[in-house]
Amino acid sequence: MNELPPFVHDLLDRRVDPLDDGAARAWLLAHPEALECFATLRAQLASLPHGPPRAVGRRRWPVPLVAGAVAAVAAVAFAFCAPADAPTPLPRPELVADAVVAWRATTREVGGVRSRKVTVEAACRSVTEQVLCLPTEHARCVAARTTERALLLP
Amino acid sequence: MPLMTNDPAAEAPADATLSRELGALDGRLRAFLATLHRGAAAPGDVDDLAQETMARAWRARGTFDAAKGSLAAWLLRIGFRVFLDRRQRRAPAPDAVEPIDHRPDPARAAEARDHAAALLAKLAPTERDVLLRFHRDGESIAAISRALAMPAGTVKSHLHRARNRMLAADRRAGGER
Repeated sequence: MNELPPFVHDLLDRRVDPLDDGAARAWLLAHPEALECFATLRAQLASLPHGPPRAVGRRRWPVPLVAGAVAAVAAVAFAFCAPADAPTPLPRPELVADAVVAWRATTREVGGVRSRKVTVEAACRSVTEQVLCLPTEHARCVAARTTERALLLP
Repeated sequence: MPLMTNDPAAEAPADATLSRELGALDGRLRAFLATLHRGAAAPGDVDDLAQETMARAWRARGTFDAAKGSLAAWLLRIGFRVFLDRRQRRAPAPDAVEPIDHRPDPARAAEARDHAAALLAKLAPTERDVLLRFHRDGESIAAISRALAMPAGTVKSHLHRARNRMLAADRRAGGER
């Protein structure tokens, strides 16, 4: 058995111990090969390890501020950039570790030169910035920059 | 723990074989029963349950059918029934006094946490985040939905997938049981 039946998930979603539910007990008795894995999962869910403080949620910027910034960037891009022949994906920085990214903020802007910079501020935090030239007929719109700020959890 | 009978000499050869095979499963049975207690069994609880399970298994040995499943699954099923019976008998009456709080064995708890951490590392970041928020931090589905800006149904999907992956990973880690 590699999956719990949906009704057992529903019990767990309601924070009901499946062992307190007759249908779940009957299901387990009918699937004794699942007993050990189920017991292990039940025990693990009750004692998950504590890690470093986790961000409360994705960083949220005030809507007007975000809307203003997006509008400004769009206006600059529209004013200075000619449409490219093909859509060019903005650069996506590579994060430094295979870890939980608790939050991530991405900003994009135009201008600058081709370069790439990766900075690790601390063991659990990374700031990655990448600038990439975009094909355009306008000399003033030469690059797009993507910045990701991530709090990493092991 | 080979099973003892009142008259070992009278055991049929098949019974002697079954006794040895059940005895070889004793450690696995005890580990299973301890896990059901989530590491907080009272002293002697696991011993009592294992003893009772073996006794029931021996009395019911005529019902074991290898064609329907392994001996281990059959034994663990009996152990599960014994555990449930004991759990039901111990369910506190409405006016019962507060039961003694059996703290988890620190060594076992640490081992369980390490194992859980290893399984968590195999989850996708969003699945892990949702799982930790719900089960460890006690956040509601609605709160997680708001915090991660995703529909409640999506939160549940991540949660269910995370549990299933932990289950599957643990099964693989334990090998064929």
